[in-house]
Amino acid sequence: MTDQRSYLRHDLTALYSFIESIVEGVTSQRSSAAYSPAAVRFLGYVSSLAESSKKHLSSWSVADDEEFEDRREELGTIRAAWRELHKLIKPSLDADTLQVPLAVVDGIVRRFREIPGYNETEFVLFHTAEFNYVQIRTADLRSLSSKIRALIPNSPAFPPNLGLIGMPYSQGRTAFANCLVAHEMGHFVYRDKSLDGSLQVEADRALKLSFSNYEGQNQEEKERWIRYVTRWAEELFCDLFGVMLLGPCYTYAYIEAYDLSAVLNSAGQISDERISARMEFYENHPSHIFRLQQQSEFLRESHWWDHIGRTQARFSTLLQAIVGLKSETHVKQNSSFGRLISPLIATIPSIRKAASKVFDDIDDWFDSFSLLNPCVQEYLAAGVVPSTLNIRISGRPKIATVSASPLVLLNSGMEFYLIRIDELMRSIPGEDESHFDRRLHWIRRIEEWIAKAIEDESLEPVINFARVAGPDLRA
Amino acid sequence: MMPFNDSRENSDMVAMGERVHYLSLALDARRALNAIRAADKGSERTYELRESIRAATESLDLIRTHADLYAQLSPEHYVQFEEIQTLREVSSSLNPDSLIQSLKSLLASGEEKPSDEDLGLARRFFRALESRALHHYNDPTSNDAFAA
Repeated sequence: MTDQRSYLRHDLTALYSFIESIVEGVTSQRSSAAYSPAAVRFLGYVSSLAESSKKHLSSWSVADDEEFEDRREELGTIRAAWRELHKLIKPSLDADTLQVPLAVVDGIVRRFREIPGYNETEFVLFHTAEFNYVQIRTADLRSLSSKIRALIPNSPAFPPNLGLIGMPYSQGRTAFANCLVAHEMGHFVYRDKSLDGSLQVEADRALKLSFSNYEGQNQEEKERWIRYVTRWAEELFCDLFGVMLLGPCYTYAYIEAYDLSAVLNSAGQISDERISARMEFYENHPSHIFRLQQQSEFLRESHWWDHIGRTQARFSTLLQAIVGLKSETHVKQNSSFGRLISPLIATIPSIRKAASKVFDDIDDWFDSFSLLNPCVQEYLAAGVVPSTLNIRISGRPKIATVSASPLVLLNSGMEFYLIRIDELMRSIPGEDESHFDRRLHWIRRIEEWIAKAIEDESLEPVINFARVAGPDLRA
Repeated sequence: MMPFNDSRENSDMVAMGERVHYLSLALDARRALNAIRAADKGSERTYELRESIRAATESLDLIRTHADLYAQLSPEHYVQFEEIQTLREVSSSLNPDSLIQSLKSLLASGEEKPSDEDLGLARRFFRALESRALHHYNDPTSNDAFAA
């Protein structure tokens, strides 16, 4: 029988070729494509890891049968690590600066950088084929990278302060839908802060309190339950993070993405028939209704709630209606997961605490929004890009020129989009608000004006209205 | 040949697994194997070796005693479902007491080289662990790793 060691050259070449084929796109990028600095850092990491991997394989050998037995599987492990990178590279190469809504996402990233410890964080955007926003767990990627470094000499460290977020390829031109990236940034923080460990402990504790026979269950069953509760808890954390990062425009984008306003009947009340069809939990996510209720309850305790109540948007009606949904209703509608909902609810105070802690002492921009929102919306109604706002500050003789933060612009723009498109179109001679293509035309204009204002705000020194005006003018 | 638990409960759990944790475990096992080889040749027992073996030993100890893996936060043992499940599968085909004893002997400080028997058992264990973790990782139906 042929010594299997003699085939190693073939197997090593096959793996070398596999790596070579994966990084081929990185080394032959389209000359016309431009990438964000974050994408350049990520692609540079991949390229450098490919070089060190190929060098390692070129000198890889075993001296005897014993070493063959010990080391043969190493090739499979290296191949597996490259398979992981494989799925990220092409989508990253496709998402050049012409294909992603850079201004809006940049604005959201600027808001993200207000969080202590994340002021240098950058995000690589890539495209997903499905309509899903996805966060690549860079904490896991970073951990794997460090393990790979122990295996492959001179391999690079994963770039610090780098996150990867996938967005639906179709959403490049939209502004408001992309508020959902805030949820993915929540995953980035959740993993970075290793909140999984502490929430597993909380889930375990909640399960112990919820079931008298919990301790008697076998370990695998207990692990299974903990796993479900912890996964759901992570999703709730990320939703609350999204709300804290962007305010209600995150929740409005969420409602629209999953068409949750469909649960309202014609009188603006909850339709039992339609809501009950949407209450079943998924393996990895709580139901959308449960998630929305948690966001609504979280907003209720924020500065934003009174403003939401005054807003004439249908989404505001939904948020107020859903807040009173009883936990027993969720349990009743979940034949498979119902028994785990009470333990999940028991962990919610810890989830809220963890999300709030991230934003300790960070301005929620509500004061600024309250002052500038009418002005931003009037600019939009007049077809003016709200980059610099001329406003009269009460008690001062001169008109001040200020710019609004991305958070203010997104919330004002979103409100305008939800409430005032008809009004805008009626003010334009010849427009008919019942024509979908024309509605879309003006919705796109609103999104572009908001995106342009966010971009302009990044080019000029920010004039933080709240700071300029002083606390006496916030009321 | 590794045991295969084909109960419905376990199949469900594998299907909902996060592949990245299998890959992470495979890399840990590989790191331990390479370090054991180095130790066998008389090299100093490295930090990597100690860390990999300590995590596996602590976890095996907890699995053997049916202790609550989630009762407290500990960086000393594995907590991810995929890691624990794979450790459980691999250790069930070996004598857990002897295995833990052998692994602990590799952690012992001092100049004395671990016995051939201890080294042999530790190597068999980590080889099996890497292979089993890769087997799970290569499940074509499992979820994408990293994504959340």
